[in-house]
Amino acid sequence: MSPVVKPKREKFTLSGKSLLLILTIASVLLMLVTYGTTAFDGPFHSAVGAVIVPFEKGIGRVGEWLGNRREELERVTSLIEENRELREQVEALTEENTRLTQERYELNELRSLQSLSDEYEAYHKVGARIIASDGGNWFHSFVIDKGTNDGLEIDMNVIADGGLVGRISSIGPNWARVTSVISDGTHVSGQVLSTGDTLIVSGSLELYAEGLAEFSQLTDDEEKAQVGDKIVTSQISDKFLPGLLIGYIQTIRQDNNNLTRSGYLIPAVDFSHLSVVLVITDRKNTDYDS
Amino acid sequence: MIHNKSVILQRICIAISIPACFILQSSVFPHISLGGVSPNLMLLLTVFYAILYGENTGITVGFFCGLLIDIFSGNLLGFHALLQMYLGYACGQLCGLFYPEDIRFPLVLLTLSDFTYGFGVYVFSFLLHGRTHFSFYLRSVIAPETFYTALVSIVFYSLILKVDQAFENIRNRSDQTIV
Repeated sequence: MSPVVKPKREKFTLSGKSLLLILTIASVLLMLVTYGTTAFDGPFHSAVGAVIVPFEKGIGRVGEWLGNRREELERVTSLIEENRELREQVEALTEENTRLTQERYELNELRSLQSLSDEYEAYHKVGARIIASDGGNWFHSFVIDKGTNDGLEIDMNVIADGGLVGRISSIGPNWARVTSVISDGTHVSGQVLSTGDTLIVSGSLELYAEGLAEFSQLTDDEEKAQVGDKIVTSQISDKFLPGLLIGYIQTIRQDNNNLTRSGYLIPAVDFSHLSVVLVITDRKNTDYDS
Repeated sequence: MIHNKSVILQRICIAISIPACFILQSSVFPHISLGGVSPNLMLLLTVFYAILYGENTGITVGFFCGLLIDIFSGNLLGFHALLQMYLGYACGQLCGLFYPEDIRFPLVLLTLSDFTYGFGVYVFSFLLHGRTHFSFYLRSVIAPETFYTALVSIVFYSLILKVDQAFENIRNRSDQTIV
């Protein structure tokens, strides 16, 4: 086997070590520059947007089809049992629904009395399809099929199933990468809906395997927060709009310092089955200006 | 002339296979993932090209493969590029030490590289953040990824080998006509 590079090697005498050195310096420079600034984001993101993303849009459908076939095979046996259970659930839910409709009617009455506007419905939203994962197995981020051309910007919040998914962390003309709130190293400022006490929600790959995320620094002197309470994004977060549902408290424990409490929460969004998300085009800091 | 042309054509083929495999890895394999992970095709390309064509090819392919991963998933541009580049360089040192038709050697090398790569990512992106529970990461990401990558590599290796032999045939034929 004659290596492809052999014939050329006589002309260019660039040895492996010097090539390695040059590219090492290049990568280290890239890391330093991207650590401090966003100077390289523009050209790189436009380039991959032109080359990679159009293909991902098309091929993503092939992958989806393959995934669906596999799921069909896996689930045919369990479907019959599931169907029976679901029928029972439908019965129960229909009953609950009628009760809730009545309660909603009452709630609307009370709301209009207090002249509260429903903040969730007030946001402007754009739907987007998930076309690719980030290509690795370590972080929970994914690529959606809309970008700056559709009016999206970095830091816009992304929701699905009525809960917070994450925010846009990098963007190109026709794509955007969404980093989810359960991604390792992501921290969101939140609050317990019922008491208004603030806390920090942190994602962790390890906990996500069990379907959980972590919260800490809950200042709750009177121990009012209960298991099952809703956690929403707080007013003081600088990237996330207030009042977006993050999840439900699963366990609470007292910290060793006896001042704060921490524990686990169950995210409101099922991150493993996302296919369509909503991007909220109102941004927190633009709200400040207006 | 034909010889040079086929070398250039082969390089173009290598260059195209990188984005093609990235698209496969990010758009198709997540839907047919095993145990929640998809195979690491970028590393697969780096290792196989490095052991077939030597250290220079290994370094270059590793750099660009890593850069693609960086753009779409990393926070620091250049981290995965650096990691994969060095793996490409290391595998390139072993170029020419084996018969390409025997898949066992590349398979073992890929498994070792994938493990090293996973360990590197764990140390620099997780351990430095205080995530010390290594056995979890080994069990849920590194080991399944290595296994799945080794599994699909059997198909990919024979494909890469076929393309390589096709170019080799073109070159042999052109040499004969000149003589």
